[in-house]
Amino acid sequence: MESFTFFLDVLTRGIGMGMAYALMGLGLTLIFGVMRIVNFAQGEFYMLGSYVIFTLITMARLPFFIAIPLGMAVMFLVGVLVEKLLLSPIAKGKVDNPMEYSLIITFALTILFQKIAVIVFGPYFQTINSYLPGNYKLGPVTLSGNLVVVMIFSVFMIGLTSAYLKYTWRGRGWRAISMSPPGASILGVSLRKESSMVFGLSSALAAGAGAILAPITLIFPTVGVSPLIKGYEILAIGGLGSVPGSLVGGILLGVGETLGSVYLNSAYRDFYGFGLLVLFLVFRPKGLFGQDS
Amino acid sequence: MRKVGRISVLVFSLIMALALVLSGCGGSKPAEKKDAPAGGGDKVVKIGVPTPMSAPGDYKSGEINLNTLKMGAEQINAAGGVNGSKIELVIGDDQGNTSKGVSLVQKMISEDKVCAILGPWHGSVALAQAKVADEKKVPIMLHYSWPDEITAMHSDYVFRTSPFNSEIADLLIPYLKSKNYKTIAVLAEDSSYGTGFGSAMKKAAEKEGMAATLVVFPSNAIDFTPQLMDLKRAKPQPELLIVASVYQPMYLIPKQAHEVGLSPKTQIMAGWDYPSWSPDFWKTVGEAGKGILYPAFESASMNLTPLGQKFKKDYKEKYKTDPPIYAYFLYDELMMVVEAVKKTGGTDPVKIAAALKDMEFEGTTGKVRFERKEGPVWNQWMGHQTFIMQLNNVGDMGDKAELIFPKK
Repeated sequence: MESFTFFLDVLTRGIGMGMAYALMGLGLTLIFGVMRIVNFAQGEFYMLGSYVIFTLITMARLPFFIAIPLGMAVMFLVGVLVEKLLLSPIAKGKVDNPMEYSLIITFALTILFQKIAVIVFGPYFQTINSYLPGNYKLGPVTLSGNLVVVMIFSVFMIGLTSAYLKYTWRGRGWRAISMSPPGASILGVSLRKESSMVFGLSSALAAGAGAILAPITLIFPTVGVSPLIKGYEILAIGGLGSVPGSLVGGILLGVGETLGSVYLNSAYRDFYGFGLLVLFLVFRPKGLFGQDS
Repeated sequence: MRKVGRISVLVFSLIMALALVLSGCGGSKPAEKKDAPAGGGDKVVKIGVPTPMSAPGDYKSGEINLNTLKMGAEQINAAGGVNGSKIELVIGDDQGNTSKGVSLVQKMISEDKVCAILGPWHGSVALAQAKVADEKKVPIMLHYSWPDEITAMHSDYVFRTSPFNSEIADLLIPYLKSKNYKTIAVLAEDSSYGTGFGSAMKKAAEKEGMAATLVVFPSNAIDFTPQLMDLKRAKPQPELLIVASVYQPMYLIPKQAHEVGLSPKTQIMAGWDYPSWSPDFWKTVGEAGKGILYPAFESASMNLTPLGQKFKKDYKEKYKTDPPIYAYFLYDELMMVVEAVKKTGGTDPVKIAAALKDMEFEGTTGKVRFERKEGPVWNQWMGHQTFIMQLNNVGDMGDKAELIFPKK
């Protein structure tokens, strides 16, 4: 019985971490689905977002429920700006090979953003105090307050994003672009106008993930590297361009890693995610919810 | 369309160049080429100093290394130098990077013709540098690089005054026995330090009849709760958890151990003395860090020789802060090289190495001489003192730490 309770504890932990990873996956899936490019700098939006929200909480002394939306809004603008300045040639159709172009530009951005973080915030480790201190009981399972916040926030953000995609005019437009850009443009939805919004939203989602995990995982200039990789693993597991895929993929990855670390060997933690990825690539290359291209 | 291909390359190079510019001003000073002026144009004794001076290297410690050597060289030069020649430090920044560190040492040996190398820092960098020095037959001395492998290669040119991983594990055993611990755990990162110290610690504890668990994690990990929950579930729950890591896990593990309820029932011990000086420790760990233990090679009750007391006083006067323990070791190394130059009457690295080999030097913390036995004990000084310290209140730094073991 006790070992079963322990299993449930570990499982919930994995689900919680997976949900936060899913936010990263969701941002990437939006960018990939609508803009058809990859974004290497997503981890740096995670990192910058957590720094911005850290600053709002510690310096401006804002409560977290104001600081997080505000910080996400700031990072939305940063995302829009990056798209307008650097990636807009893609949407305008001026680039021969958008995939290569985006790889090169966003890879350079990761290095730039990391250096900026070192200069502005120093190479130190920072943290945000727990949003919800203490532990909570849910039936036999013990949850830390941090994990509760992570779960609620992630589900809320993913729900909000899916609702936006489903019910708003703009969200439907994005889905139209993801199905067929020329078709969408005939109907008056142009990638050119929408891509900066998509990039901004994706950046805001990464920032939210960064902020919500900060009390657990600290903030430092290279903190975004691992979430970025998780984000891409989720993309492959859940299926490129699929919103439910990113949630399910995130949870699968989080649970796989956590259970593997406990019941197998924690030295190979990153291997479990990788193994999952390979399994999917071999047996179901389009991912759980992916469509055949 | 071809034009845009070029634009993307241009934008890319622009961003990368900017990143490079920014990394240059990332909190470090530009590398200094030389320190002491070449004494009046005649003979100088050149000593190579490759050490981290900018991120991602541990530039704070690198600065202490430089301060120590500069002060030592100034003292010797002010007293007329050695055999009438001035000491000149050839300083280089290895940025904590192995390939940079290796090429620095190669350049120092072949171009600058240094007669000895002092000041290497990061374990994996120092190991690579020691291999170069061994090949080129120039003595290299390690004052705080811990991998066993460095001296285990049994080179005539590699000397170490600092403790090493398996020695540190052995030094901790008397404390574990005094507490009558039966079960301990080590959480170690998958680096040469982490696994080196972790497996040595496990071996040493098991030899004493304790149950020891070693859990290795990837060094870039940010979530340790699964491993910590597993330790909490273990029957019996370990009485002590030793954390062998650098960078973020040092802060994350005590914090997350508290979150999952492993500590305070399980006592946490840092693998080295970072909680005593790191400005990030209390900021990131907070309440969860209360009562953390750490091993140190120095304490207020440390024995200092007259030379050691003088060094401490001079250092404090010049730099307004007490020298950390490795500054003592490094100062000893410089004085030993000077002694060897005096003895051999020249700057032939091979002769200097031979002189160092059998030297008995009255150092800052005791008599320094290099032992040669088996395994890592090869040109290795073994006279270290170990103390177990505890931080009892949030915000306490090393000066407020309580000496737990050995009791005075």
